[in-house]
Amino acid sequence: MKPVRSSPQTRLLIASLLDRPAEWRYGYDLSRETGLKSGTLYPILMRLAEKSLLETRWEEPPGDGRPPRHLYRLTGLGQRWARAEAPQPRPSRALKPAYGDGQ
Amino acid sequence: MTATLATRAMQTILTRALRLYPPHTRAWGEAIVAESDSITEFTTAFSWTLGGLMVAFRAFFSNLIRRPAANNEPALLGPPPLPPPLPWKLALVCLAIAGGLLFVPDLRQGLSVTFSTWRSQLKLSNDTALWEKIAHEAESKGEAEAMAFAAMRLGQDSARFDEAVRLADHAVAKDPSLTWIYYFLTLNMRAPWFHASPHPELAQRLQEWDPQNAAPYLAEAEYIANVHVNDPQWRKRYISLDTPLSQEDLVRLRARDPRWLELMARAFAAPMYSNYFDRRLDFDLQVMQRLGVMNPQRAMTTYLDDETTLSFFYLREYAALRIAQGEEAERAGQWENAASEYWSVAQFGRHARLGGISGYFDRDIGWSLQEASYKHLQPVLFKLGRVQEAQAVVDAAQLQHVERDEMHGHVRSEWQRLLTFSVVNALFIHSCAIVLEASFLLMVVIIVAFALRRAPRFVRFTLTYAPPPLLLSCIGLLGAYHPYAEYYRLYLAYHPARDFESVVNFLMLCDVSQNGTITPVHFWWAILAAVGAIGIWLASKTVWRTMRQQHD
Repeated sequence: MKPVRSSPQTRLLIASLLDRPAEWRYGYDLSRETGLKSGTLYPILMRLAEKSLLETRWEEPPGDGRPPRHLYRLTGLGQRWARAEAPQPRPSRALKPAYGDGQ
Repeated sequence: MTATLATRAMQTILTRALRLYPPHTRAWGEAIVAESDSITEFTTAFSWTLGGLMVAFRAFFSNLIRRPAANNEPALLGPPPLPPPLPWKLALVCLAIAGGLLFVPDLRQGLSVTFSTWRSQLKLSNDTALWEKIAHEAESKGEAEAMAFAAMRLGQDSARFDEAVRLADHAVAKDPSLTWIYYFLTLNMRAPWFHASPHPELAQRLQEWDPQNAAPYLAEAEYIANVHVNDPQWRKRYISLDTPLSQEDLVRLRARDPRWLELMARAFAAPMYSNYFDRRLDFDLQVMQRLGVMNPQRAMTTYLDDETTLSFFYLREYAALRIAQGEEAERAGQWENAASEYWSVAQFGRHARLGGISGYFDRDIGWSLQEASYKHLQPVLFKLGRVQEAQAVVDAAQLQHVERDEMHGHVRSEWQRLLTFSVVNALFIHSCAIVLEASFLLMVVIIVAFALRRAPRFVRFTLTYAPPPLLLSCIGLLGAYHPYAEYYRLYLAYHPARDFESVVNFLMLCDVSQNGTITPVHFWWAILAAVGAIGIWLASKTVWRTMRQQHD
């Protein structure tokens, strides 16, 4: 049984997460990297987290008045599942950021 | 600076949207807000905010339709399980009863009426082709009645008016007793949509055929008035019969087309008034039954189609002119002439009230003409020494006043009933029909889906849950539609049962308004009601869940 429906957008995201599996990632960075808009990205992240394929945590408060950001990375189970699911990411899509070049 | 302000505005929106998240997913909303703090570019922030709002609404609605138990399920078990299916026996019993109910004629008629109403609203049905087919067949067979029927129907379309006149001539040539159909063709010529070449000879033939009736003269008079419709001298204005006609209006009326004045004089002098309404309604129903094109909507719509209303303004204007002439005669001491003028108005009012004008509005014209003329008539009759006649007029005026008050009260309560009970009942019938159709279609779709993809668990769930609403909607539709079916039978069989309120009550179910136009009220109301019911169910479920969580 597939724990998560593996849509092209999901595969794009897990390919991006698999690229640096040990690193904690920000939502906005994932969005820029995969070209997924926030309305598509977050439901996928929520679904992956619900199925224990993604772990999440809040970063330490930066101290400059900005709010702490949410961080994501694949769990061990998630990495195993992602390797089976994720194809090679499509370069054309990945090179076209959804939200410009802002920070 | 602008970008910063815009970003702040977007953040505010996203922060407000946090309220939409249920407690267990609120952290995701906060994550989206936190990320937005890193975005400085306006378009990017805007796009991020739109996406964030979509996620918020999605979380809100997902929470509404999610079963409470689903939150506690282990993560990797897949989608939440469906509720347990109902017993097959219950589903089969519901299906069997619903199937049996479909053999009840009233239920089938109710379904037919609601479905054809939807088809009308979706512009899927048009009777013009049917009338043309009837006309063609009637001509080839030489059937005068069918030709006359089709002529009156096609005559309501300006583009087919010439064809309608030709058919009517053909029908009347075969059966001269059908000459009255010219009345309805003539009245079409005064309509705003009429752009065909006029045929004033139709009214003249009708006058020769029925010279004692005021209606043929009024029909031609209306046509003449319509010819002058853009002339300022003919512009309709409110004339009060209670106050004397102004000199300006008097001059304006006297200067009108002499033929119009002559026709109005003949109409007011005619010994009877019949607008052929009853004759046409009987005729239409009989012909439709004989041709096999009868259905409840056509039968009821025919009532409104056949009911014709003459111009209230022109009748009042002419009555005011006659009353003004009576006043002039009084000033000249010509009491007999004055009485004659007033009597002509009073008698026309009486003919109009009693002689076949069916609508309340039209009947009101007759009353107002009588009332105005009686007021002038009483003193003149006393002056002439006709005391008994004058006393009879006083009594008639009092009696009429009471009758008129009663009628107005009746009309008010009638419309209150129509706008409350009729609307709600019709809405309920349409809602039942929607549920019935939806349940049936759901079962068909599921069976087809099963044949294609095999999903026994889901199939069993749907096939056991669909029959109960199917049965309930059948029972609801049958119960609510039965009085309409009863009335339809009475309408066809019993002439006095054809009353305005009952017909409009029926037509409200068909979304046909008083003037015969389709108004898609109930269809969309029923859809709104269905959506509203689902909304209430979801909201009550959420409230119940929240209360349970608080209790726990």
